[in-house]
Amino acid sequence: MTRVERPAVILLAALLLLASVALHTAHFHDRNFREDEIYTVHAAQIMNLSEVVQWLGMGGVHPPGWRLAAVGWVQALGEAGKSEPIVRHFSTLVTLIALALLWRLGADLSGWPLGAYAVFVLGTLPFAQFYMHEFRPYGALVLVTAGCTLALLRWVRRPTFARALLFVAFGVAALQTHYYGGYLLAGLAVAFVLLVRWERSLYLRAFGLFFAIAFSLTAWLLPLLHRFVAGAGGVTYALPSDRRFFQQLYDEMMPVPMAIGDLLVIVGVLGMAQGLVGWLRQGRPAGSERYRFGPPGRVLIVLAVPAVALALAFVTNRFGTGNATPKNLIILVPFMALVAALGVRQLPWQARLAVILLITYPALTTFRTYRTNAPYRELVAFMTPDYRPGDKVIAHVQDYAASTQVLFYYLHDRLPGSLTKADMFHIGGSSHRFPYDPIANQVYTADEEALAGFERFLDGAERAWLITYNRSELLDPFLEVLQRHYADAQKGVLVADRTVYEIVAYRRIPETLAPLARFGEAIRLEGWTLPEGVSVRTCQEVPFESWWHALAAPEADLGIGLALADASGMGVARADAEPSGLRSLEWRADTYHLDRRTLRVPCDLPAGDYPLLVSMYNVKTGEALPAFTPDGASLPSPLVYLTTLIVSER
Amino acid sequence: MLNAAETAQWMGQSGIHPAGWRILGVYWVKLVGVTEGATRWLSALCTILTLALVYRLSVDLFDQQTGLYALFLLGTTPLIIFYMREFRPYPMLALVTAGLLLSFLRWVRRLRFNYALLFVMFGITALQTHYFAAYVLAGLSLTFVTLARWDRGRYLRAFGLFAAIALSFTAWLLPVINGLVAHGPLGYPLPTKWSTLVIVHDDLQLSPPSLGQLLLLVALLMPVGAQFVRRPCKHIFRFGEEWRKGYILLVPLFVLAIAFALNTWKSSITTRNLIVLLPPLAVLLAFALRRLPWQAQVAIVTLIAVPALTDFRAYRQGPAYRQMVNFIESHYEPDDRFLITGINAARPLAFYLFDRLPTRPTKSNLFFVGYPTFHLLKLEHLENLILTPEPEALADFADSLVGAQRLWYLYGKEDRALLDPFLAILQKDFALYRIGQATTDITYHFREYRRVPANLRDLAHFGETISLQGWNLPGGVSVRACQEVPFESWWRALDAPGADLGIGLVLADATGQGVARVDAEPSGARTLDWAAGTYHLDGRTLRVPCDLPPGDYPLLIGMFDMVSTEPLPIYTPDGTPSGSTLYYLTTLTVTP
Repeated sequence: MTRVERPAVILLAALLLLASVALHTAHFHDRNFREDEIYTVHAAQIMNLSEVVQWLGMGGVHPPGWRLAAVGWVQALGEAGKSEPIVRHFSTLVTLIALALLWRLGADLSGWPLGAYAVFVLGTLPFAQFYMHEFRPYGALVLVTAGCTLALLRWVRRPTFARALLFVAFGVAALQTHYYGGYLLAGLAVAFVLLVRWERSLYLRAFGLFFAIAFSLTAWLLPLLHRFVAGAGGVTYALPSDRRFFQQLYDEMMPVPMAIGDLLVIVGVLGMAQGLVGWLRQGRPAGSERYRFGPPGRVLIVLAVPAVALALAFVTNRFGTGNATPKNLIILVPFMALVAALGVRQLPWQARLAVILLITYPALTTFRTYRTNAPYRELVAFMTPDYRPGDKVIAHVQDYAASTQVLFYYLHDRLPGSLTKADMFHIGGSSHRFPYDPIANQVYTADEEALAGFERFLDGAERAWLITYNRSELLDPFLEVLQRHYADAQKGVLVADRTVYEIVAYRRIPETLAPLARFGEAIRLEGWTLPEGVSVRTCQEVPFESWWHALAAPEADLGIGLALADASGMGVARADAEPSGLRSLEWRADTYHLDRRTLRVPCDLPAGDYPLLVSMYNVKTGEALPAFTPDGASLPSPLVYLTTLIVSER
Repeated sequence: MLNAAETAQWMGQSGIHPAGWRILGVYWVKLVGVTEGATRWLSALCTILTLALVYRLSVDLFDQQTGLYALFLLGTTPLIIFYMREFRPYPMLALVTAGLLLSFLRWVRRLRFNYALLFVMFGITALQTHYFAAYVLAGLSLTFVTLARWDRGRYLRAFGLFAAIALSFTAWLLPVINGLVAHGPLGYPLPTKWSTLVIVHDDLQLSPPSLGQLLLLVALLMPVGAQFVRRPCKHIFRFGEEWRKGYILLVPLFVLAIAFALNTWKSSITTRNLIVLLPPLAVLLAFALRRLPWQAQVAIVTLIAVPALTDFRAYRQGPAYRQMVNFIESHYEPDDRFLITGINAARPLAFYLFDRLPTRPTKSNLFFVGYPTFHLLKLEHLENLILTPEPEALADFADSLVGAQRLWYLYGKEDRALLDPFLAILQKDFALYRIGQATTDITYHFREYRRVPANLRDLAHFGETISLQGWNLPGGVSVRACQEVPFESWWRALDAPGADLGIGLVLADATGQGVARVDAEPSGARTLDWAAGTYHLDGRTLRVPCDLPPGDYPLLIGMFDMVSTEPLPIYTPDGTPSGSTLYYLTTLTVTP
């Protein structure tokens, strides 16, 4: 490379790397945490590093290395360590290094253009975009995959101590990142034997290196053995051990558009085959060639390692413990990117440009969600303005396996003043447990004991929050207890990906309520307050709360109208809307409901006294409900007088 | 039913489509018959010729390998696979497009009379095939002006050829003008919007589409270079050797632009009309494929061949005409009545029934309910098109049933409010005998109703609600071993049964042991659907065992609950329990 070319290539590499992670970050900016991410962040709030090791030792399978680094990262960030985008900068950093190593690996194998194409393919790969950006070990797994392969190839070329050390360091890091790092090392060992010519001292030293890496795991061997021997071993969501194993990996991992991915991989493989055949036709040249198949043989590592790792994963999944998942097999992805890059490189520039355009467009415009998340962030945003420590939170969340405890951790770590275990009650939900910090108050049936426990749980609290997902009949008896003492005041429907959570804020029903007026046959106004008093100014937003009692379940969708009238009875300002809590169609018989709204006093309203009136109307037809006195006498107007606001100029 | 002159008149009535292809199609049918397989061989023939011409065009422009790739790409394009096999003008349209491109190219390069004649012949055929061929001719003339250097003699002669082709169309000009001016826009063409381009792209693209996009981009970016120069044409064409690519790129581009421009005035774009784009584009993509390294060629051929062999994209699903005729055919009698509703294409169904049933049904025996009563200018008018169940229409329907023994009720989406008055009339005198269904674009239902005989009487009651009213052994009581014995029985629901019941027909030996039986639901409606007071005809066959010794065997019938399999008790018509769950019908005499 010339003096001009070198900085240009470095600049290109930097731009490509930054563009890739920028793309990932843009796609991930608004995404909620998944349960694994919440575990790690929560662990950082409640544990020190040695406790993290103990915690992971209880699970057994995952070595603690990556988790320690991640917990350290979150703790180093302080309060900012609870924010999704900031926490995930760890993955951004890891991804940057992984892509840089991949570039270097490609450049070592067949020149910098190969590295550039490989980074492009990996950077735009939907699978990598998703899993490398989560705050989970998969980005690091790609990093150590590229690092181990690069370090081994370099060591084989020149077996210096520094390179040996680098390989061992990457190997140890791989084993400490994820147990699929073991599959990677096995793949590298087999590839070494397959591709590198027999040379006693080199082989001895190579296996010394592999041994050193393996040796580093001895401390973790007992927990690992314990998990596989004493525990269940595998995971329930592992890939099936048949044709679907490969089908699903293919569907999830291939570049988009898939046909272009197929094309590149086939061309890459055929190109390697052609190189090999060409070398074999030349006859095996004598000399100090280190690889069995000459220079083309070195490139074969990008096929040999993933093939061995994939075979091992399949065999273990089939005959051992079911643990193969596409995300664990992310170790295949750097090699696939290299094979595809070999394919790109063999095309004429016009086809390369076309391929780049066809891959870039969907990468920029679409984002594949491999796993959907729950709207945790939205829940906290909804609760934060009104939440007070001591509030009761009731969860009826029938979501994924770890959803119940994860919800508590998330709220615990983020609600102002925190949320204690004793203040959260779980109705149904998952029984999955984070062994280090189990949740409290979980019931699976609505028996007398559970309901009595629920009554005790609510006792004395002024405010309660009900969070539901996939609501079932189990909730109904508890809801009855809740609505005996509390009125719904605010409702939120919160969405993340395709997951829809509902949250309702409840307030304890005051004992001072008394019938003030009746609207229609079934609804009674029993109280109201103007928290800021009756003296208001023009342009002011006047908060207003009213308490309603449903004598029977209304069969219509009703709205509440709040009106400010002038001396002639003409409305000068009004706030018409459905109740701020549940819609009246959801009101059960003999339940209370708190409506909260604000009325804006017009800026051009002359100073003076203005009556404040309230009414109810049918949302569909717009018709007002007739109003009655508490004893049943019909009122002449559907608007009921509440008080008089004294408006002064601002 | 039409000769060539009548076909031309028929086509002239609507005006847009020229008569040529239709006359050819009519005579082809007269030659080979009306079955789907035979008629579509005309399309197969056109497809073969199209592919051959596209190959030749590719070889003329580039080389043989490009020709082979063009064949492959065109032959595996899903739109070509679908529309080139239908018995419609589109295969011929593709054929004449390829023919025009090839013959004109040859003529431009060597101004020989026979090439000119060939081009004019293709041009005339094109205009007689489909009006989109005119767009191709216009695109070709614009491409000629763009690519061919100014040469007064060549230009004059070229436009003479175009004029000759246009001249041949003068006879059809008035119907076309009338069609364009007098008729409103059709309901199905695509609007002139960007989204139309997306639809055209999606429909015309190769499968997988991204490979088509790749090849198109490569074709646009890749220069032709000197690789294909065998006979330099610099004195004829501009742009060096790039004219080769320009020839197959500009024609479809001009055609698309013209189609869009005219679409703003008169909606006419459909993706199948734009099949004219595919022959030149296939050559263009083949050029790109040819220029890729062999590994990419192998990969692309494999990746296109796999879906072409394993998937079939049905651009349009036709109604289940064939299944309907198959259902009707075995029991059909010329005097049968038809009640048809909820089938989108009622007129084609009527024509299909006219042509396929052993004897053509009388138009007055076909009732179409829920169809507008006005007549478009079409091949043959239908009678009894009924939009709503007006009293007059119901009376006509009731009158038409007089004397009929059978009615075929064919429907797709059933509007009960519309149909119930007709079904009420029908069910007074007719019983449901057989049902069938087939799903293509939607699910189609076929029902055979038979007239309830006047001589039915109460023979026995099964349970509380069902009465056996009569039975019939059409083949008589003498049967042979191995024979399939047809049997019909008439039933009346005294009240709605409210259970899912089956009918059991049993042949017993002297000891009362069953030697053969056929248990199944009634051949018509399930008993759950039997309304009080309705009659039902059950038809089934009983197979006499091959090893049954000759002799006399009682034939018995029973009813049973399909869920619990429990038989229903039998009562005499006056309500006395018979003590058995099987009712004796007759004795079959079995001979070897």
